Amino acid sequence: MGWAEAATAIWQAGKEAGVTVLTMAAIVIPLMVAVEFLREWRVFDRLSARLAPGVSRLGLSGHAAFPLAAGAVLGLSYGSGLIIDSAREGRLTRREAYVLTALLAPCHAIFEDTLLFVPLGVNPFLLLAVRAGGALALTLVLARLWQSAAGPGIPPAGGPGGRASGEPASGPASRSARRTSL
Amino acid sequence: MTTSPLARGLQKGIETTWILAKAIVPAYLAVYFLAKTPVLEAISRMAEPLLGLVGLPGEAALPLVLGMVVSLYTGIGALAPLDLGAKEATIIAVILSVAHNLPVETAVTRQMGVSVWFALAVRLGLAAALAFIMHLVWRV
Repeated sequence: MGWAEAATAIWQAGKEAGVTVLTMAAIVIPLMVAVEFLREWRVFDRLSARLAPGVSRLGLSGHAAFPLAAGAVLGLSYGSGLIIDSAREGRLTRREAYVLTALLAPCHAIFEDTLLFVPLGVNPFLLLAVRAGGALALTLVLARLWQSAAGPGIPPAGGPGGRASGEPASGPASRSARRTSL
Repeated sequence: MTTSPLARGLQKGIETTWILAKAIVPAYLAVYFLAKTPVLEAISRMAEPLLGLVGLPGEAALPLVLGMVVSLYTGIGALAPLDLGAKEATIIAVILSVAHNLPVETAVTRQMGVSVWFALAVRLGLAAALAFIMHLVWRV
């Protein structure tokens, strides 16, 4: 292609990319503010407390509830920072790490990831429902399979008490995750 | 967390927008230039039979590959210039939201002691299954 054509292509691409970035900014920035307010009001903590009974259905102990909620809402490496932490302290079994991965690897940072597609004309509720529903269904099946294969004898990965569910663990993983929001 | 939620949210939002911009602009340029060469067409033609199974055109291959290998943002950047219908865009969104940043994120789950193959199989398998179901169910 000639120079003029190349220049036109760059101009065109740059213009459209600019519009896309601005559209995303208009959606992403207010959303992030909303998420920070929800966190300030400890909505996520309450959410994870509500989740605790539900996770037992997945064959997970209550210790997994907070890492699960953190990963689902905030992002994979943020959540797994907590999970790795819990695993090292012996509160999570190997099976629980696999169940959590089956759920969180396909379905994490659900608000941020979902909103990125809104400027492209994707219905966010449909997208979230399909993604979360699919991950949940798969995890339920796997949890059921592993439970029957391993028998009910697996100890619930008990350590004395759980993490005080208020503050997330802070470590290099969680800090970098917040920045990159995987 | 001493700052106000408003300041934190603004900062996070601007950071995310910056990450997006850095990924989207090069992806846009790549798509524009590739569109003028036979490369994109060749990739599209090769991917066509596979993508056809989930109701996608061959040109969807580029955002899918970029999103899975590089990052979700890059995939979205390559998706935006394509002129797709709501159904196609939604199916791509489902695939990419389930399976993106695979090299980086798989390294993260590996840290939890979970096998790389398990994580990849779960994500790619689920993405394909959901896309196929949506294609079957969504009749326009």
